[in-house]
Amino acid sequence: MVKLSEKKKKDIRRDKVLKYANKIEPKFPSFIAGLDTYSGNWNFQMAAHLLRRATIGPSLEEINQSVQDGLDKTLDKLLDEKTINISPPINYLDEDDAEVPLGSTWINAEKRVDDFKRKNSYAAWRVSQILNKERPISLRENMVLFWQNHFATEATVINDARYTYYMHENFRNNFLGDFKQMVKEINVDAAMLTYLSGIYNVKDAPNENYARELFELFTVGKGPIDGEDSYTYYTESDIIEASKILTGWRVNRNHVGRGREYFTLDRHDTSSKTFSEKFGNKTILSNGEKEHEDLIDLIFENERVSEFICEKLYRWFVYYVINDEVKDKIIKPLAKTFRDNNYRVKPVLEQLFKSNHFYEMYIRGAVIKNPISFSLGFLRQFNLSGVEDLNYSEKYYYWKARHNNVSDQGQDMLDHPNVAGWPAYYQEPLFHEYWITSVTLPTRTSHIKYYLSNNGVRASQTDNNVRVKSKPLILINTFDKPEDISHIVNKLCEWLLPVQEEISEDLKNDFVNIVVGNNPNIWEDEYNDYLNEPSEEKEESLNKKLRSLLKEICLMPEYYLS
Amino acid sequence: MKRREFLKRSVPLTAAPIYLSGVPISAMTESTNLAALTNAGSLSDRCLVLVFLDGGNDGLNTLIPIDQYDILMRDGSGGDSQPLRRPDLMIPKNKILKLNGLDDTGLHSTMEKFQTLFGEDKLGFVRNVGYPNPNKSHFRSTDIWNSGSSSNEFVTSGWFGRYLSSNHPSFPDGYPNSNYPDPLALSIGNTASNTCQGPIINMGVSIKNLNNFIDIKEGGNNTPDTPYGHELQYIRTASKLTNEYFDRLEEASEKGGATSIEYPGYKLADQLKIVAQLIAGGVKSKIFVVRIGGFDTHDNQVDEGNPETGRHALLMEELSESLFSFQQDIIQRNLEERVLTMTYSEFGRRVFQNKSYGTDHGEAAPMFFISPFVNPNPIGALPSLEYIDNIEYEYDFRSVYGSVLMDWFGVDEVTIKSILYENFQYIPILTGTQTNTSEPHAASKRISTYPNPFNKILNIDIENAEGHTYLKIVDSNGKHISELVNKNLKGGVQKFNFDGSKLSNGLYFILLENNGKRFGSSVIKRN
Repeated sequence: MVKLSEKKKKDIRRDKVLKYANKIEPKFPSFIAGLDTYSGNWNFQMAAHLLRRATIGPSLEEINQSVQDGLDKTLDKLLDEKTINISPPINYLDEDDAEVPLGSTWINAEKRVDDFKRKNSYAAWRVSQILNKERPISLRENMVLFWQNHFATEATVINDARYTYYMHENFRNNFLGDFKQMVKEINVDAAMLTYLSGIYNVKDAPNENYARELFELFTVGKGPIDGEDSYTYYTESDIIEASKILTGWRVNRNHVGRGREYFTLDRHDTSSKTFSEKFGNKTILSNGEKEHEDLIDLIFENERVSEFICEKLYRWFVYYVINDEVKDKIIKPLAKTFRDNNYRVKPVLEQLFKSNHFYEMYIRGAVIKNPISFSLGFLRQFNLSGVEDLNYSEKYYYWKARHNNVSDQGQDMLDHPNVAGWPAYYQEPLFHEYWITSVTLPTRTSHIKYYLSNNGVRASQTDNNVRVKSKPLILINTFDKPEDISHIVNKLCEWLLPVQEEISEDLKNDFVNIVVGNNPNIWEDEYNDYLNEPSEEKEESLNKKLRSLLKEICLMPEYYLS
Repeated sequence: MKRREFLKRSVPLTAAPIYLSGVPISAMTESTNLAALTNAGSLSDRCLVLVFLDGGNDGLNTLIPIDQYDILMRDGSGGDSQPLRRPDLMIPKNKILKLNGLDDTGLHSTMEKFQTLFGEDKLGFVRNVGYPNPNKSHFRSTDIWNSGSSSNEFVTSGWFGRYLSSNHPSFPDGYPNSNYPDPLALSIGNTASNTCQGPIINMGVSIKNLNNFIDIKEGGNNTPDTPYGHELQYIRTASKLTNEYFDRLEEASEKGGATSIEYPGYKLADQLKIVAQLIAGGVKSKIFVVRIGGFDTHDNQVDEGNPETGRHALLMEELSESLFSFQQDIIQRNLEERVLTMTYSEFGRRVFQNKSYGTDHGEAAPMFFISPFVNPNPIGALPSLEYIDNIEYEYDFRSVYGSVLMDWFGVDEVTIKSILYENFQYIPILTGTQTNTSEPHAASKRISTYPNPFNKILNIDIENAEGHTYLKIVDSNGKHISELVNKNLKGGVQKFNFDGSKLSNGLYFILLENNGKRFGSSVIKRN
């Protein structure tokens, strides 16, 4: 336990607990900076802030590179939309999958009754995409999470890993693209048709499951009740009309590869559908398999769509408090950018990440990392040594176990809690405080301790001796003064803890003491000894000290913040 | 049907009894001796187990209206005068489980254990619970139910959180302490329930299992007045509380020990098992929240061609079997009198089926209550289901909550109105239907008390089996008031009367122990 100096102890005020706990959404400065282009210095702290929010667990190297590149070039890299080639998930443990041999991909295979092994493979693969450090920095994986949370589904309900894979693949390929087009595709996406009963939506008895969420969660968002069966932006009757428009779509489970969705006219309601005054009492005429696109065009006539999505992006990347000031200065102008660019996401995020507002002090360190940013982010920053030498089945085993780790903290990448997605992004007034509970606190603690354990982390289903281990010394060796423990602590704090101004010298001294104890020279002596005459034993001894240090730093509440 | 006509033929709502007025809750002493004196459990020992049926439970497939069976079987072939109802969803009439003494209502065929509880006078229900201007969004309606707000009002605190906060206004400052060493509220699962969100902070703690009590780092104290400082302080507070409560829960979990009851292998059962173990270990949280998901049965609610199986049948089985095992567990652990279980769901479902062997989001639905003290008489009557799509609410859910607060936790009406619902109307969920006449009214099938409320003389009729019969009256603190009989009696109906003219106003419990079986009823004294 870090001991605080007496001076600090005096500063504890009993009312702090009450003052800072969420009663309602907290109120902060009445004046915030706007979207005008960032005019301040570009330094390590600013680059680190951008990468912490835009990516998952930025490495020290990536931040240093971004300092060198400057803001514009960094953004070019982050927002590069070029499609990348990724090898798809493979069968790593299902010996009974007649069609897909071990080591081959199942994404173009026939359906499989026992689908859960493919789901496990997909979960593992997703972790591997996030942990990957070989590609240039990109917003991609973070945006896949954003979109899958926006169009949230549950793979267990869908019960076909291929559908979930292709849906998320579309998010990956279009991660900064045309949102309006994305909604049109989601209307008739196999995963969504299955998840929200679209395949059962037929002319004689429209099923309103999807139509309701289309309004409430995917486009205009829910508004207050403003009349009987009326929710400000849409009414119950609009939901019924929309579900009629969406009748007739089915999914061919025997189809292989993309394009398993098809339209059946005989199941489609061909009547004219008339909407409420919320949509200008407009009518959509029968238009076969294009009719659902007409519905999206109608919904997007309401500018509320652009604001709703910009609010969600803001909550994901900046902070959850959207007061009048934020609404006027940030959300509305971003929404205009969104509309002016035909609902392309890239210009919106470019404007946001370039703005004075994004870099002002008020925003920094204010986001509680979600479990993926916390646990997988940690492993990206301190990758365990030996993973690259594992065979594919061991790798997948290791990744799948990490997926279990984040799912234990409430962020399952396959199964969202429900169609509204993770509550941290909508549940008032808690928002991301939702991630921190008496269940997730011990889970976060035990994961970090496990990742930093001197015995390493298990990496094989069958052999307990196959282990991968953190070797922080490899990274420390790249520092300017690796023999100087104060220098190491300073660098680590600067990199890992979000608001440097608030990290006191006392705290840093406490960190140093974790390593040196009563012997101030022990680190320097041991390190020099290791340099002069390296041995595995000496290396491990230094690594042990660094692991203890990292357990202190990365279990500080400050490391939970981004 | 218009609301006015509908209300006319339902059980009338009664005026709230004013009891415990002038007695501040905090003045009620906490004493384990009192609990030992009586099995009723003192107010401070009592807890509520709240079971959230997540997704919108189909009430009509849970409590099945036998009297409207033919109407519900209509397949739409009768034209506009006989619109489609739910023929594909209805289980065969002869498979509906009968409820002792009720002709018009039965249970889904998988709910045998609920049938047993009802036969023992331990299962009560209120039908048609909802709220005006219902919202059919899962998320909004769940928020409404959890916060106890009206449809058009956005309240961020939870209804039970506000109740807890009214007794613990400074929480979490100074908590836990020697008077309140336990979490005030406990959720089993990943997150603390929004029901327990106080006006300031969530009053609850959540745990997932009983084997992960680990030390959390609490960190320093620098807290700038910025969003960063705000969130930092939140994490520190949460860490500190977690550490302190974990010590206590770990101890309680060991003390409570594993159950000797065999629970079924359901997630809900696993959660309830933890609740029983912790209560047995001495945890005095006021509320335990558990959840069972999967009720959003838009499709395949029943299997095609076999309405007795399918998603909803499995859920009904999980619910009924899990709660029954829980009840056996707390009986075994001698805790039954301290625990009230209540179910709720964000809405019911439509009367008619959709084409996917499922149902879409509806409005009002029944709530269930399990305790030896429930009013076993059904409350609320279904309207005719011939033409309506949605079941309108008859009882506001906030009146249900308020009645539980009043009867189970002794909260006064003024407080209920201020923290919950201005239009609160008392519903006799626990006290038995009140009657001002001198006619007996069966609050429990074994015990009849009248009049209720009483002023001077209280008549108590019991129906006992031959053998040892012990009848006593205790007050709402569990304090012994009077013993009416304690000896071997022949079986039959026994009549007693008790002069309560010297008693102060309030709620009293009548407890009957007959050959080792316990029965209870409660009455109100009012001058």
